Amino acid sequence: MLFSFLIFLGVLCPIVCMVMLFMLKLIDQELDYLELENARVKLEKELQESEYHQLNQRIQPHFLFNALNSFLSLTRIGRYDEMMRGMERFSLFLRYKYQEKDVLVPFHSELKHTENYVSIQQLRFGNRLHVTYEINSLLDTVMIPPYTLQTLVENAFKHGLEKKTGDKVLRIYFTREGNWVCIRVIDNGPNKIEDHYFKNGVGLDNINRRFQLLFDLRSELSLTKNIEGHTVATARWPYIPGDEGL
Amino acid sequence: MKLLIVDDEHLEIEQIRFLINKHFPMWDIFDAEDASIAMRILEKEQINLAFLDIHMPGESGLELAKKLKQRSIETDLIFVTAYQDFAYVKQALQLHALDYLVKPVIEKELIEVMNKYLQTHQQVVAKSSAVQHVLRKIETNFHQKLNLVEIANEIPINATYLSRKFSEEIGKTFQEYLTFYRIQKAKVLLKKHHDWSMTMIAEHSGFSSQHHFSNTFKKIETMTPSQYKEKLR
Repeated sequence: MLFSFLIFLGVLCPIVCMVMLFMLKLIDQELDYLELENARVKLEKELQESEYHQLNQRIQPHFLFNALNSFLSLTRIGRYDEMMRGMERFSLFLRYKYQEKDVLVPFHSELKHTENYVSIQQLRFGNRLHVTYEINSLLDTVMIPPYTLQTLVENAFKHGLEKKTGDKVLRIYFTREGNWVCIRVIDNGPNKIEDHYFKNGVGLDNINRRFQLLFDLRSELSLTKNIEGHTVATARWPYIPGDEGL
Repeated sequence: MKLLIVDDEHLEIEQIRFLINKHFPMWDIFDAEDASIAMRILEKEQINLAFLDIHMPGESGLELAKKLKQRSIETDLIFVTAYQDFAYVKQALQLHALDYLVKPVIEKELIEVMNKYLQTHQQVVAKSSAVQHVLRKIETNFHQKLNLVEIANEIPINATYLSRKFSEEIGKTFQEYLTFYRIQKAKVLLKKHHDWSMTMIAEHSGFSSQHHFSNTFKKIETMTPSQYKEKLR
């Protein structure tokens, strides 16, 4: 009896050991795989981030030449004060562009950047361009992914206002909706809404991808037409109070 | 001379107006911020030369150009384009545009385009019939000896007055213009007759000697006639 048990043990032991050894190897592999997966996700994130930095630092050549043209015009016809103010605004615009930025910035710095952009456009279109801002001052320090507002405004010019004859109207809203904040940029351009704005990796598509990357909670980006036929660009993302607000 | 500038940006109109005024102060300049205003002006005025912005909201510069060419074939066109509109430039040139300019407009490029226009249209620049008579005389008799006093006597008109009038309207003195005109003719001859000697070219373009011709040519074209001929090959 004891003998047969010993024999049994003698056979079982190596088998158990072998199975354990095998499993250890598998667990090891599994751990390796997880680590690799982690590294891959991290790398991808970094890649995407550097990609969006590159995209963001790119200034639309269209805008650059238009700005130069406005400054040349103002200089030629002797409106030096306006020219200097324009150059200052443009310098601030570039300064923000080439600054190292975190993934989130306070809303007021993004707003300033957008105002600089708009003031250059104002040089071109003069009193035919009407811009209004409706922004709750309590939201000044709320955090926002950089270029979100400016991209929506740039899009409004590129696809809407530049094709509009007569008066060009641009309205910019920033509101809090419970646990979310929301930007609305409304323009009276004649354009139709096209899907490809969301597909080319720049502009709206770029904002969309960053939203996906940054927020676990729901975020939204959309283009619609309101009853007046104006184009409404909406961006909605989770409310993140800034340091100064705490 | 009547000129029309069509651009939806007011600053651009002001800028081109300024540049043209600076070099051609006697010209009448009209402007329009869109195609429909431009058409209204064209109904009233005989426009010699029009600067059209290709990209305008509403009706584009190309569409306007088509209409304009249907109305009056004599109006010459120069397109003004943003840098990324090169795809349209080909279309623009098919509409028999004289040339195009890229924004921001560089003064030197504008002047070059204007000179290209003026080389073929001196007559439209002249306002008075007396100056027009002088231009016609130059056109038909440039290869002969010409002097302003004789032409003035033909009209008849006071020579000093005619001389002043000519400079005012053309922007060059009679002698400057005549020389410029002869050099342009010489260039045409150099292209056309490869086998002609320089003496023959000089003679047929109204220069008294080959030496005088070479010197003048060099002053205006910054190269000798032989170098110019060499370049054509």
